[in-house]
Amino acid sequence: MKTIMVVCGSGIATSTVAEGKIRDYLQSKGDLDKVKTYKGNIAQYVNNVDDYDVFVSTVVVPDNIKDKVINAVPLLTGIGTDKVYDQIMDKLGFEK
Amino acid sequence: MLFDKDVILFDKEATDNKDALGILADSLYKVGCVNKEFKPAILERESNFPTALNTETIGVAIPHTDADKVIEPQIGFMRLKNPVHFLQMGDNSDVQVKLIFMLALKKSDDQLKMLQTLMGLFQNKETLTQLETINDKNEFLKIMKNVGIIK
Repeated sequence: MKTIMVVCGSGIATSTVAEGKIRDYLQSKGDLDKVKTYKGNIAQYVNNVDDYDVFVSTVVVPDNIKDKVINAVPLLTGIGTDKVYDQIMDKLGFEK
Repeated sequence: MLFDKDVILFDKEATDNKDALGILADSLYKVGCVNKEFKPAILERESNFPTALNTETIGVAIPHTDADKVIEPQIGFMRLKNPVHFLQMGDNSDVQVKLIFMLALKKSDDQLKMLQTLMGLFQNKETLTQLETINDKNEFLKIMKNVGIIK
């Protein structure tokens, strides 16, 4: 089972929306049953980036983990969503 | 329901984003939807984790904070007379914000659909244009019903 962590500032609002979008996308690809999604706030999980196959954030993350984190804001604005899904699928090792 | 306390403000003048957030947070406090800690928490969170989004047409912001400051779920809406400067969520780029939806929400999964709908609204140029031009609360509520944010 692959794992995805979705974080925002509070773990309530935008992470919930981004998680929903990602789940819908995985469902459409038939991959949802292979993935477990989690959500939380950045402060709580900032040191656990390596514990998940994919780490997605709607907020700015510290520079030292920046390269490992996918920016999920396009999932909220609708501008550039394909790129985000591509990055997620790459990290999961699933076919796009 | 989410807009029933009438925190729906048109063409407010604000000197900067803190001023704008303060006006809206005070309004939510006055109608009893949030506690005293809500306003400082909103301001602090905005400076740590900005909430503005550049849509294809105008800047919007969705300030929010932890659920424990919320007494009754509510969304406060404010349209600014003149846009004020915010930072964009996720990358701290500049956004001139015209519309603010202040989310006072409790932790709950049934809000997912509503939040998704609200984000969907930001991708709908026609609705955003309507929100820029309308002038009364009933029209606002009608739009919120049409797009499915409230029933």
